[in-house]
Amino acid sequence: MTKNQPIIEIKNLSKVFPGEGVTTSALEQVNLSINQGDYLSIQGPSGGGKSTLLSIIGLLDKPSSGDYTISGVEVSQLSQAQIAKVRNKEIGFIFQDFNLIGDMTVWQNVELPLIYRGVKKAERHPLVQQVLEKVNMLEHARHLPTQLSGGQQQRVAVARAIVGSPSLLLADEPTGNLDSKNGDSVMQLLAELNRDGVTICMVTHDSRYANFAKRVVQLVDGQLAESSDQSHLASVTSGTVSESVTPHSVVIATAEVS
Amino acid sequence: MENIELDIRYALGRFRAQPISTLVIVLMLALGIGATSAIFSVVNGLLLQATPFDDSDRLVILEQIEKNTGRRLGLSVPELFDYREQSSNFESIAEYHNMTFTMYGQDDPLRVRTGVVSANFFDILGIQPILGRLFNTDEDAIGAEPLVILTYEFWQKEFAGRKDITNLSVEMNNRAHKVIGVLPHFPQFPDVNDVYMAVPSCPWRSSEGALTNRGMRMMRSFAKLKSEATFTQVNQELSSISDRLYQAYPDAYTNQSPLDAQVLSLNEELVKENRPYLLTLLATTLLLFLIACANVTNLTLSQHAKRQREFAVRASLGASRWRLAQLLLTESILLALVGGLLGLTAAYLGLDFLKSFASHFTSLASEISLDTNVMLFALVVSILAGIISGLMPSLSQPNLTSALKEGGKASFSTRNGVVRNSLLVFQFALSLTLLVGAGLSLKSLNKLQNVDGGFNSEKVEIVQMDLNWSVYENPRQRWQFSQKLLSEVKQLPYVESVGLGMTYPMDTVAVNFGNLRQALRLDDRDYNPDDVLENAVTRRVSHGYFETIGARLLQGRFIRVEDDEAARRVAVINRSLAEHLWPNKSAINHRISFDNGENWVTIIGVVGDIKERLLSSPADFQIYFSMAQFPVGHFGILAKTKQAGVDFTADIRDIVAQLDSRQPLSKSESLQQAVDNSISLQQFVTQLLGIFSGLALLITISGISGVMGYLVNIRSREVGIRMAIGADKSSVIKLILTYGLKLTLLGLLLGFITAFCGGVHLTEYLFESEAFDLGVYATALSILLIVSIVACFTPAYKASSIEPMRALKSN
Repeated sequence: MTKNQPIIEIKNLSKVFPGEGVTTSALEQVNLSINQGDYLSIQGPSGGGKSTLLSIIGLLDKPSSGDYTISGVEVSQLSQAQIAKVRNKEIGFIFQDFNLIGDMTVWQNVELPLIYRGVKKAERHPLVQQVLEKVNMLEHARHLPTQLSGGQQQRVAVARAIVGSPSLLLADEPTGNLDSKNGDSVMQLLAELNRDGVTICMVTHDSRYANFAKRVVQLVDGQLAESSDQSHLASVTSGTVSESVTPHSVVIATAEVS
Repeated sequence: MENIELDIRYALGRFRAQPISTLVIVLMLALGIGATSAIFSVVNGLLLQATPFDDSDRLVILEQIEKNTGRRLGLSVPELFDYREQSSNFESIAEYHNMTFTMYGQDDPLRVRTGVVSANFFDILGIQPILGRLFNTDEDAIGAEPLVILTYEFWQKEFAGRKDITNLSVEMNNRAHKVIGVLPHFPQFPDVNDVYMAVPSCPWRSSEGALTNRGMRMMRSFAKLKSEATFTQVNQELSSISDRLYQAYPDAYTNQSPLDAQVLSLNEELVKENRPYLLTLLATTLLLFLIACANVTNLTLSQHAKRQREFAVRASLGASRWRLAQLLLTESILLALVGGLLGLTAAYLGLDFLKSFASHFTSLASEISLDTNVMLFALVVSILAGIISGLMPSLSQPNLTSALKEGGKASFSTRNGVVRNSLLVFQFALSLTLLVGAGLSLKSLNKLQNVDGGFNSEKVEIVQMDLNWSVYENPRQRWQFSQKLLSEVKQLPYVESVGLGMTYPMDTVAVNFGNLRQALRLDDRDYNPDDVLENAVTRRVSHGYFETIGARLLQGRFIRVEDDEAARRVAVINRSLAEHLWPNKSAINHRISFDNGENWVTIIGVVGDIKERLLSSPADFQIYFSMAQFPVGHFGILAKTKQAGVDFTADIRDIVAQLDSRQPLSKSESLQQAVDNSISLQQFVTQLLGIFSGLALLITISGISGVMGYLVNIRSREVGIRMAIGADKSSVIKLILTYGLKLTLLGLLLGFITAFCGGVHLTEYLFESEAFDLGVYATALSILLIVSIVACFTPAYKASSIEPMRALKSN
């Protein structure tokens, strides 16, 4: 897949949570396209539908209606087993809570997606070593997550997310549980990955970190608005992120109000 | 394969990290699998395994039946020869009868139980000797050299397993016999013998009377059918032979109901009495197993709920549902296998207990072992337990988004809650079923133990003797010995009363002696030769017998010293017979004859019914003769002692040694032991039911406290909110208790139905028991209710102690 080709295409996507007598609409008629090499940030207030959208993009949840294709494949046509396969091959996740498996070592955590992919042990070893080196965590390979700081845990989570070379990296509030120093460090890591060609879609409520992205979309009450392209910001902010980063202006883009 | 290896490694790591919960699950499974495997080993040894004889499905017992009464009879030697000669469906027919001999040649004379068999007996059973040889066909001929073969157990016990046993000469009664071999261990039926003797070696079997008299039906016959023969064919042929014999020998069958003949499967005869009890026990342990599985499933579900984040992460990394299920199943099967191994070890440790208990009611007890079948069963049951407990959690479909966000905290799904509650209700229902089963069985046993058998077993000691009938050849010699023995025993300072009885209540050795096979002639009515009393037995007892066993005198008197050989022949009968023969009249001084009036016996007393065979069934019609007038060589010396703990056997041994140093003693026991042995199967079943229901109760307690503890954990925020808005401790306790009790009551309601169904089945085999026994149900329900309240109270109290702010913040 070449640059500027869409990895993700979402058309008229809605998500409704049925309840007892009350139906809650989390996403309404969302249209979104993410191209190869993109660095997209989804921003918005709590309860705006950011995480729901990310879960749907990550195939952790299903839309109530609308079309969703990933790498040209219509998701609604996929079986559970195929969805698991796509998740394993195409998508890498980074969570706010790191979500490392507590009774597995750093190495084992990072190795896990490769095991699920059926990669042989001999082939797994260099891949795990390589990503751990990339995130500067190789020396902690035998540690358990509880023996690491929050920043270190998130680095391991990043390593686990990218070890299988996914087409798309999904990050849900990746700095939410980190102090600013560790947060900066993780954001720099993501920026580096993006420069290396990794497509990233990140949810954050922190506008400082949102500005690392080339594109920013706002999700308010389940409806999407897109900011102007700000790739220039990402390209200049490879150093320390500071409060002085200018917030971009938001324009209503492809969201259609139903 | 690598995946499984990885899953196993991960599972082992998890178990190490959570030793307590792992141990609880393993122990729970060990209980369920161990109990089930132990009882399966009994069922396997006694029921499922064919007897360890070659071609056991073709092995049969040949017997005759009185057409009029249905009474089962053995065969006489001439009859056996006729069937052997005239039937075409048998490969071979062997004869068997049991005698008691006195063996000399060892330090002390030994009383040996002896199976007298034809040479083909061991061929039919496919038994080969472990030392020496078996009997040859030509050694069946009268006049052949007297030979014996030792059983394995006797060889070990009396000859210390010495290898140079063959060709050793031993004296049996008054005759030298050559030991020609030693048998391997095998389940003996219908008697457990010490030695086997060839037919010509037995003086009785070689006698003219035995060889010619068709009425002397002392033989039992074991046979092997031809491979193509069916039971129907064989029985049809036997019926026609028995009809022919009845026609051919009219003199021999005078005063005799026409006979039929039939074959019975040896396998079936060996197990039929025990089958319902053993299957009930197996069903009981399966209930226990299910309770354990339900509990482990509940624990696993709780653990799984806490691990939802982990599973969501794995799913987000690309693990399919099957892959996740595989991990869970690997963990649960691993735990179940460890539990199974532990359970099997426990079953192995309990094997001797089971064997010794089973030996009271079956000769197949030695067949109980942890053989390949049991191992396989334990393996299957373990894997099943693993699948049951692992499958349920793997079926749940968590909300991945919420699990990733909130992990275990948000994992209380309604569906899992319903499953958990249902499992708990299921546990309560099965526990109630087991408790009610144990209660019904216990109550029935209690009734059986307290049944009025017409005798008092307290402080009655018994030593049995079989006089060497080659030495004490005639009745007078036997009575002289018996008389001397009685007067010596009377002198023992602790003896309150003493008497001799050919048999005594619950005597397993002589229980079938003295069956009345001919019609009685009564002094006040016409004789009808066909009017044979069913279930009528004759007994021979000495003066002092009735007093010793505490029998109740209803009319007349007991047998006295003066009822001796010189006096008129007298008898005491029991109440049932008296009422049957002379309803509303006195039986005293009426006379009865067993030979159509040639000899008469006068009724001198009527005693209350004495249950001799089984406490659970009515007494037979009983006629007790004076032993002084009808002496016997096999009898029990019964003594009522003034105090317990006396060594009666040692004193009898001394007395007998003084009277005849070459006369051994036979079995010794107390009357209470005889009674206990007679109900040992019921005791066995009741004890195991009690143990299993106790275990079920324990598991259920842990189940409800676990579920309630978990519930409190996940509802702590709700409890915090309730307390923050004013709920006090008691209302929180009430909230939790009410929840637990609702589940309990639902379980008990369901259990009431299953317990009733189980009770209906159980009462078919229990003594004086009803499927719905209010007392038993009320007790079982109360126990479970109390247990439930106690088990729920701790988590309820814990919930009431929650600090509202901490609970609110922690979530």
